[in-house]
Amino acid sequence: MRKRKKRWKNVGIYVIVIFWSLVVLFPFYWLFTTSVKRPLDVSRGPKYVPYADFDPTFSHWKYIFTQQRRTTLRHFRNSIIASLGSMVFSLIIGSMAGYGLSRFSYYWKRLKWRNDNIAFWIISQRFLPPALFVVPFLMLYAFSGLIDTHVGLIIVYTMFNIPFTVWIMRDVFDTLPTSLEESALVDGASRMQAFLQIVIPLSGPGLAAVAIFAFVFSWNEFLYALMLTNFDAITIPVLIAGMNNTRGVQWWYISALTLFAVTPVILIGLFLERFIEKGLVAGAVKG
Amino acid sequence: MKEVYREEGTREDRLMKRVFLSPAVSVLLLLSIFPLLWSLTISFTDIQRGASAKTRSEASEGSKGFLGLGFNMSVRNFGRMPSDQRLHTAARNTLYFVVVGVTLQYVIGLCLALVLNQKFAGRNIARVIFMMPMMMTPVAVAYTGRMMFDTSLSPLADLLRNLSTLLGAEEPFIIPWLTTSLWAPFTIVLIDTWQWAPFMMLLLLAGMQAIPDEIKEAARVDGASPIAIFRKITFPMLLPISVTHSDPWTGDFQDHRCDRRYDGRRSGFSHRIAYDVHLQDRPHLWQLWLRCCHLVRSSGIGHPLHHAVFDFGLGFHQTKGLGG
Repeated sequence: MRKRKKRWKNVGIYVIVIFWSLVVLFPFYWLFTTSVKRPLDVSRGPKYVPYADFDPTFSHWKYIFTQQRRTTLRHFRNSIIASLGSMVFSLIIGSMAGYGLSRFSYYWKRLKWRNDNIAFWIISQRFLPPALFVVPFLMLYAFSGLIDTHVGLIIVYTMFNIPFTVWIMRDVFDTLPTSLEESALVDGASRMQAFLQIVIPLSGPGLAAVAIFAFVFSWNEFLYALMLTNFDAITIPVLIAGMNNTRGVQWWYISALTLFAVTPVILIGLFLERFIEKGLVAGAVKG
Repeated sequence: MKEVYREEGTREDRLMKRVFLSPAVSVLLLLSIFPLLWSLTISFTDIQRGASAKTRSEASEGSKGFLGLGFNMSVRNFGRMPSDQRLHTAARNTLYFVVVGVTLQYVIGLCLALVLNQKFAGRNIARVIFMMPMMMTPVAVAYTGRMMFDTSLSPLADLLRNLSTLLGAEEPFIIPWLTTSLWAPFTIVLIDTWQWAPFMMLLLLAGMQAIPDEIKEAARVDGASPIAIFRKITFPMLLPISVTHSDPWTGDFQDHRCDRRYDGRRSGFSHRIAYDVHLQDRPHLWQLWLRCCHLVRSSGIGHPLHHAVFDFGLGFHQTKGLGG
């Protein structure tokens, strides 16, 4: 009786898993087939299986990686620079603030703010839709010559990544025991040494999770990349969006580029996937 | 409870605690206060893109405008708001998007998290697959969505056609997914859910795994059914997480990504606030209004309310013996 119940439960699980996997994977499959379809095959109704329904062509991929090679690779490089740069900075700044909020007690007399209030103020920066900041940033950047530079993008993305980083890292540090640092401090290490050599190595999973989120956010960000860059620093999402031009939407190029853009991120996700959950568990215990 | 050094500490500590926190605070202050003040100021002026400073100052009856700066202080931006039809549409759509979207994502995220919390073969692969949409560029998601939901050329339309022939319907089922203002909002919500339900799943899953097994084990020994365990233990314990985490992330819904792709040209839908502001020549009241909320929040006036949610989250865990 119990066994049969268990079997039904398993069937249920697999039904849900398979259904949602199909929902998730089919668009990716569709992107792939579209990227090897001739334009006519795209516009003549849905065609599903290469070789059976239509003759695949790799000319779109070739176009992207031979004729357009320099453009594609430039955008790719820009994306990598902006994402890695902001990831590094937000990790440094964010984990420092997270550590501070976790280990020291702050008190700001004017507003009677303590640690929790400061942390809340930091996360509240993420409540606003990013679109609100675009115009002021455009003005600021135009004024200071940061338009179309990698530095400009890195600054914006760092600003957007910091709140999340601080919030998670604070929770991660909260779950670490303080005894190790304390003994190091007694032995004469400075606070910074204790932080760098003891706390940071212990919070690997949390750091990895935050790093992934920061990277993925910057990698995928569109609005700011669109507004703050013109040519030199354009990132991949802008390139993809630009495929909708006077010749209509070029689905085949969009598909190929999308797959190209999504591959590195998914690979990172694959390798670091278990850290994501571990890192978030540390945060979740606190609510 | 977390360890905090209550005492003032050594001199080094007093210095270091500032060193640790100040970079983050100064970056956020610099980069968020400036846009705030800039928008606040400009929303009270008659500055308009396209008109030169000269024409403006001439228009203001020969005077040089406010303090000789070449523009006048005015509240006309605010006066325009009540009758601005686009703003009404935007507000309505945003509301729809948040309510329907968050609900859908929460329900789906919870289902997926419940499934992934069980032990079964291939769980790790399933988890990776489920997370894939989250990694995709929103722009690309929008394009993909447009391919998937095309009224006649998409696989979905094909599926509906086949379904109608299979059922022997007189007319083929055709759903104008993206071309009517009735369906377009829902389709966009669906696309957004496809991308962001995994995030909800991840947060809820992390929360579930933080619930100690002993509690559930004890309930099981006492004869509680799995459904009762979910209703009485898992769900209530997840509630604080659900509330706290869905709050900050609603910010993402105000993202204008899908809209830009589907917008007005096609369906008349989708002047959501973010997009609207983005389109405007000058900052809008909405922008200002949101900013005021922000100001209120960050200055601590509106703080108790919001903080109650967080405290509730914390307190709940602690009463259940889960204190972080």
